[in-house]
Amino acid sequence: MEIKKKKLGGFRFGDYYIPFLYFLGKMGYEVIVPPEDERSLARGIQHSPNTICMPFRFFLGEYIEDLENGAELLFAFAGRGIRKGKRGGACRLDFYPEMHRQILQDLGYKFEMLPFRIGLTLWRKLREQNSFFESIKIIRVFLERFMLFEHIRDLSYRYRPYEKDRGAATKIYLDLLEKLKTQESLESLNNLRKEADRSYADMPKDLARTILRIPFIGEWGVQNIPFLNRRIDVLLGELGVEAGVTLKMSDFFFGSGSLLSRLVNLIIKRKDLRSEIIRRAKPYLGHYVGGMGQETIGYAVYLAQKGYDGAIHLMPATCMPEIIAKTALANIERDFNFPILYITLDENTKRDDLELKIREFVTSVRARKGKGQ
Amino acid sequence: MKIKVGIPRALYFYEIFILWKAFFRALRVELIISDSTSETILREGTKYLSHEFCLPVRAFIGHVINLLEKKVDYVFVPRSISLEHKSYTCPKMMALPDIVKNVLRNERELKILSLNIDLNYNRLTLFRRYWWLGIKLTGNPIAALFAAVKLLSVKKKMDRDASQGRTRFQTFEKFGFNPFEFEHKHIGKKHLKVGVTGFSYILYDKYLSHDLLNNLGSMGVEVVTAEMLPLNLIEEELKELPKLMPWHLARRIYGAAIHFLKEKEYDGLINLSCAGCGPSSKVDKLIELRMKEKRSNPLLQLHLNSYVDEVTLAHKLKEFVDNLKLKNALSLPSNDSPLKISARRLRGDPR
Repeated sequence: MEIKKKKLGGFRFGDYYIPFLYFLGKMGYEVIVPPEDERSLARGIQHSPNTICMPFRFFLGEYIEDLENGAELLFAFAGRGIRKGKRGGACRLDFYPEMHRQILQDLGYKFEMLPFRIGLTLWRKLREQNSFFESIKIIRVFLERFMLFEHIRDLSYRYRPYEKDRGAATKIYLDLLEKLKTQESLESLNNLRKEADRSYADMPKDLARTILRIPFIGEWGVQNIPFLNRRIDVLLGELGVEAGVTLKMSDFFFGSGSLLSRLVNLIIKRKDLRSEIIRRAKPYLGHYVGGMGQETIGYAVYLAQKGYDGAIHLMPATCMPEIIAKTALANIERDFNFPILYITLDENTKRDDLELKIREFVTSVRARKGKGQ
Repeated sequence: MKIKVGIPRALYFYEIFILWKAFFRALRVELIISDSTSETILREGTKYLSHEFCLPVRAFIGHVINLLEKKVDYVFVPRSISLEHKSYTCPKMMALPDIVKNVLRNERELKILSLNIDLNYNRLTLFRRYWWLGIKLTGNPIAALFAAVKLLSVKKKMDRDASQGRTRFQTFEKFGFNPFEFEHKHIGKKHLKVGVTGFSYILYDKYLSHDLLNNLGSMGVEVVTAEMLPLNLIEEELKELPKLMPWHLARRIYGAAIHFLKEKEYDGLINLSCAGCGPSSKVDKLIELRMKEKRSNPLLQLHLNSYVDEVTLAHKLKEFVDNLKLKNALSLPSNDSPLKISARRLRGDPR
């Protein structure tokens, strides 16, 4: 007898949903993936308060799409609660699940929220469907898939500026992601990793080009969701720039410094830069302010010191920690002679305007460095 | 020569100035408070901070500059992380000393006096921090000890008053403090009783709020604000929320707003929010949702930004107050609009 699986919806978060598909599937859910398009954004905007940031509205729109497609449960990043001094939810993100829930209920949808927080509840749900050893294995595979996704993305950023045929790096990226969707064992993931390295190594490249290294800094949602930043990561690659994301989702989940996260970092061989970053931020922003304000500033200093060519600061309109960070970034630009481009994103931002700004910025950085094209 | 310490008349000045007054007085320093907010002050602040920052924070910078012009030795800019257990203030308050240092670093001779106010830690930590501040300022550990003790004793009185059902206004009056440049006593004939909610550092600032409270008073409205409600009343209303908001002023506004919407003794609620305010966007929406749920009094949402002018604001206020007066005069049950009046009622029939 087939037990009817509960339909679980959530937000896509760019292509990050791929590792999550596996994990949530193993927890016994049928996962509904919303499309990432203008329609979700428009619906989210319709029902959200005006002055709230774009990621909130976008996620709301995606939730609505899921609910219309029959989702009974919605998956949300649960907050970390109020803690003494160090970390907690001063930024609005912590309160989002509650706001989303109230708005959706007011719209008449019936559903339950599934808060995704690393902890016992998640473990118990996993154990309902799987034996103890299977569960351990599932977690291990999930972690590996998660890190492999980020690795594939990093590879695409690293090699795209060198691509001889336009679009080659993207094609390899998409092919690898399709393959990633079906890998369920550590061995096959390892093979896929080798295949990824090989594919990019074999891609026809023009190594004579001088590449600039200009990563993103700023709010992690718009850094990681290409739909929200209008795919400027690809644009940068086409301009001969190695793009990069400084605040990955792995930093969000595994970067808290807690005992559990340190253990996880050992298993997945992840180097946690958080303490180094925060140390560099201290002279400009001495205390946690919510969101990732300190990380933004710390990374700006870090990138400047490590010889990167510049940074692009991304933020959704009204994001408070980033507005605060900007006051310090201006000083960092001066102190380290490090160029930063400031981009504020909202639903009215047009791709053409962004393209213009980025082209100008890249040109001026090249001129400053005396590097030819 | 006495050390001169300047306190900006902005932000948490409107919440806990009596604590700072007690502390610095005990240290025998000369306390200088900045002038009332004015167009000049706001303009100076906006020179350094973009419009993305909310009005009160821009005003704060303007007040700091005002103090520098008064040639103080230090400007007191605390890092207010939390003013109440299990809560936060807002990212900007938590970054205030850094913001001031970053934007004013090239401009003037700026010496900042600061400490971390975080009531998520216990009282001993608070005491230690103020004590250390006193030592750094005067070099005298004994005087600093007494000053910190004095501050804590005033705080204890504040908390005890709150738990005994007194309002903040009453507590402030006890300490001879009326920063609120508005006469909240009942003067003149009042036809309506309206609740007004908003962040204290906007609502009680005559310039930033476009003198909202006094204007209402002169229209014959008895104004009741969140700071005029006993604390336990607000806590009761907050129990409705399944998950508590982390920002404590936003909580106060929400609890008071619900009370003003629910209770029949009030004719309506005016909620004042400000552009660039993160917590506002939540509270406003939640109030709106709550309004739809159950029977509630009329609501006017006023939204302030740099471009809203006094005339528009006054007009909206007048319209709202006139509607309320009309409603009262016709004794309508609250959710009907004045247009849905039956002929019978116009004749004066109460049914």
